[in-house]
Amino acid sequence: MSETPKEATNPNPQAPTSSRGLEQMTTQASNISLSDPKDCGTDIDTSTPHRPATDILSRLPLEITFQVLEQLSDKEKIKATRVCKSWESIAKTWQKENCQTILKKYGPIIDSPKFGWTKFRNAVKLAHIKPSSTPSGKLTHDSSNVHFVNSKKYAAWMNGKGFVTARLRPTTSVKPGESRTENETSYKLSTLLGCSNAQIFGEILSVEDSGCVLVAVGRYLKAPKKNGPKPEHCEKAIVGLGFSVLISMKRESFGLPTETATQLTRATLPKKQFLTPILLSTTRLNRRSLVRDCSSKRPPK
Amino acid sequence: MATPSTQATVKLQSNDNVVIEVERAIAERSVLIKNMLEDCGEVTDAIPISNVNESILRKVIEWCEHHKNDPVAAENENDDSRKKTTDIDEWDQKFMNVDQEMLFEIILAANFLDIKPLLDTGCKTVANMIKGKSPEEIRKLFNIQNDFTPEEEEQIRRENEWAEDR
Repeated sequence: MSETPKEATNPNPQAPTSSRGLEQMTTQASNISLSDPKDCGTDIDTSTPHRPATDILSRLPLEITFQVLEQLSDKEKIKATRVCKSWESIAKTWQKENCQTILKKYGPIIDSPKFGWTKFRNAVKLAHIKPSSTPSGKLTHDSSNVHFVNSKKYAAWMNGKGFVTARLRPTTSVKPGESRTENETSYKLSTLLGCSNAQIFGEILSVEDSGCVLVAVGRYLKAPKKNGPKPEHCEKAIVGLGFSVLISMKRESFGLPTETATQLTRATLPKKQFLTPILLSTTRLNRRSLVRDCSSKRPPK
Repeated sequence: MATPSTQATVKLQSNDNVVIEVERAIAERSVLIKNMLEDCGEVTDAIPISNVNESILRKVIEWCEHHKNDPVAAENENDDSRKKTTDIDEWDQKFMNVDQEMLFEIILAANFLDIKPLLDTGCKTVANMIKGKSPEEIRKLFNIQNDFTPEEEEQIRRENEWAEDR
């Protein structure tokens, strides 16, 4: 999916009129036509060609379409991109033309004034992390690019380069200019394990309210190449469990003996989650094999 | 500046040449018509509303009639209060309970005639039709063809799966 939104077009042949154009009207009512946009002024550009879609949202002038979108939450706007290409284009154009409003709302998450759809989508995603209802953390696997797992106090997610941990604000709603997460800290798996970044990946399994993050670490069976398939589509295998401790105290230890990690997992994850294939496959392997397979360097003590 | 008119009614002519006489106070819910009457003074001829047909014009007049005593929102109040809620009062909900083509025409007419509260109600109605529905339900409701390729659909589904209500 392209980052740059396609230009949404305004298919409406009836240009809306504002009262501004009335100054140009004659005093004789019989000579007054309220239909001519040239006489009455236009709020919406009608020069662009018709969009093929024929639904109400796609047919409305873009300005009015934006008014409809503004009645929807950002999450709903993102969801609407799944309907059809026309709606996807409308939502992405809305994002492009409302960068200032978005920045005001998600400023703490979106770090740059120049951003595209992906950053907007991820900011909305971050702002919507809700405290887990289970004290030991909730295992949430969605198959999108960023995987979030959270407890009542903390959240952790994979961002491609490693994993990020953050504290959750204890508020139930996100106000403009305030994000849900704070005190973000990034951890590079390769730095923690002392091996090449291209060869390994991580999958967060659980986040504890004590501040512990349990990460399944795997290696790519074939390292992702620059022009090859995206890393998430490469063949990979989980080869060990990692254990990052205490988000709040900003210190981490990684690579507990597999037995300890497995015990922790057994103790804290609900049965259903424990039985996922990913976790089962990790129980047969240990960190030594991971390090041996991934790097010749010695792991940090 | 023309002398303020005291006329009680004005005539509006739809694009299918039907003339409808309405109370001036009702017609003035349209900022477009209000400004025109203020600028032009007394208008005896029918005012052509060339973008709006009779049935839509009658519908819009019905709305204006019901809301003729509503306070007019201040200019700067508009944006904030309008965006806060998608609640629509019961009468307006029934009023907007029309087919999508008519809803589309009402929204266009409200925009054209500059009747912001009616435009808002129309936009909120469309938004409420979208809210809480899955993409498939939305496609069904609005008769939309899914024009994504299976690969595109899978990618966009993966990217936005988290946004689905669970």
